[in-house]
Amino acid sequence: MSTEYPTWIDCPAGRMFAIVHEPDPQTDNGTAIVMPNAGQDSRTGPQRIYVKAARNFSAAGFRVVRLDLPGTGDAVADNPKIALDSHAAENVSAGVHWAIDRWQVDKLYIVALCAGARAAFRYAANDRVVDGVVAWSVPTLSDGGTPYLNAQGVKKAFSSGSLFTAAWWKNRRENGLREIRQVSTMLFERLKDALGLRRESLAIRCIDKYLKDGRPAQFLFGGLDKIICSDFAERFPEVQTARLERQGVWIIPDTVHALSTLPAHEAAIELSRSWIEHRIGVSPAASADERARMSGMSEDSASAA
Amino acid sequence: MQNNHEHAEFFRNRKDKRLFGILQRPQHHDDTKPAIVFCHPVSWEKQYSYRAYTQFSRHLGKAGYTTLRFDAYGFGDSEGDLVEATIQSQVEDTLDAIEWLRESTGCTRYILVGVRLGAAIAALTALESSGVEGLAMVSPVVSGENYWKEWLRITRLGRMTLGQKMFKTRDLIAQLEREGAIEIDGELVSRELVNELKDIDLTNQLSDFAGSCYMSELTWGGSDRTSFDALVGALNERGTAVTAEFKEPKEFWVLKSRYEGYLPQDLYRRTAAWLQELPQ
Repeated sequence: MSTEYPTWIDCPAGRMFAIVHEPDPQTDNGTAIVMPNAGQDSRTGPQRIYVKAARNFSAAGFRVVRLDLPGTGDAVADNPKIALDSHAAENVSAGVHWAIDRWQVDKLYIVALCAGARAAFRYAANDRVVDGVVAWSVPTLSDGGTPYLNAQGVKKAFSSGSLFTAAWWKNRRENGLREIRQVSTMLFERLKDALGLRRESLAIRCIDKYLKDGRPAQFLFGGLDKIICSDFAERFPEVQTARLERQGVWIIPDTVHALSTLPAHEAAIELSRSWIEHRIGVSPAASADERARMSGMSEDSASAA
Repeated sequence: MQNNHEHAEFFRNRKDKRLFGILQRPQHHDDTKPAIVFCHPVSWEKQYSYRAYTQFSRHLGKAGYTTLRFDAYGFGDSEGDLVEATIQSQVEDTLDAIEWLRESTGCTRYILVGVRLGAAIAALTALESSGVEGLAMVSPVVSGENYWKEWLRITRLGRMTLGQKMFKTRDLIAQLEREGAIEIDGELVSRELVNELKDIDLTNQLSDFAGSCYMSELTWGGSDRTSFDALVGALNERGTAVTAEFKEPKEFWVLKSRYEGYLPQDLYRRTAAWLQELPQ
């Protein structure tokens, strides 16, 4: 029977909160999965996707820990900074090393959504204790600007010459200054690129380093999350097109950034679990039916302490 | 698992299902103070208000109150899926959480705190528990029928963003009737839950509650000011001790507030002040 229990984990910022899932010892495959929360959401994830995923993974034999990083959920540690990269990599590290210390596992993977995935790469790029990262909807937009945002539209505007017409600017002004700001930011960033002055955000540099080191990563995106998808494709074309065994991109159709539909939840969880199972060389511990039956919680072990 | 004064644990409800709760005991226990039980809202409102609830609970804990925040069956870290939950199951789980609190701490007097639908769950629970002395309700769902209409509007909007064909409200209702459940914001919601939701009418239902009420609404009146005013009027008419204020500057249960890092510190202070004034 798989079990669940809560715990607090010490980290540089104070104490994080976590829910731990342990599999039936008979199905235990000796692999841990750490799930840092997504952005400002708690450890349950949007629409409880983390809860569903962790129960599914645990039923398949994985040990899982879902983290409330500082400033989120029930974490005691606070984090007044709210930005795409406000979660410190050191706190993800604390969660990973908690899992290693507790379980003495052979292999460890990180599964995370959006900003949680960025934090995962910022940590994993510099610590080979992580065997792979599953990134759901990881935004590869930069901190200091969004140079690739609207890139297609601007390219079109450039190539057609309409960018230099008063009508184009009038239309942009009437339809929102935000787009003009994005365009000007992009042009500024491109200029810095051309002059060799732009310093890419740490998260992007870490993803780049992680991939160039040839380390395993799975990227899942919602098919309707077009800006994030196209930005990723433009930055990492080799991953986008090759879909190598170690590094690949999967698009889940008809869903948005938070993968917020039931079929998208199921697809993301199944794709992630089967990719990790393939990486660690185990056949699925149970059939889909058995997993569904087992994924409900059981056992009373959880009484916390 | 203990963290200073917070104890996180799974406990069992009357149906032997596991519910998740965090019990916080004050550093200096004061027998004269009631315990506070937090009733969560649902769907995206639960998701976005989570940290605000945590900090609300900690604020009252620092003020010397024993507090309990928990997830009902099918929510958060508790067992089950939303499709299996109903309004009645949430009320029963709140009663079971109160019982667990009593067994764990010996507290026998309670104040229930809730936001949006959590406030309605708190109110319905108060009618079934003799130990509940007060209700603190923030932008409460007074009319379940109106709240259901809000859900339908948001669901239609959500489906449009997914590029699906334009659903009419009656199509969604027909689907609910036909299939017994529909997907709302990534989770299946059952016909039973919807029917029970539509039956919520606090203006009439809360008439039997003899305790004190603190009601706080958005400065601009919220999404259903008419119902809020009607409830306040009805409670005043029956002689219930009500403190009603329009003092919430913004909704802390929406995405925007969460990403601004907004926490309703003033609400925490006002609620603590109201609690202080309750008869000991």
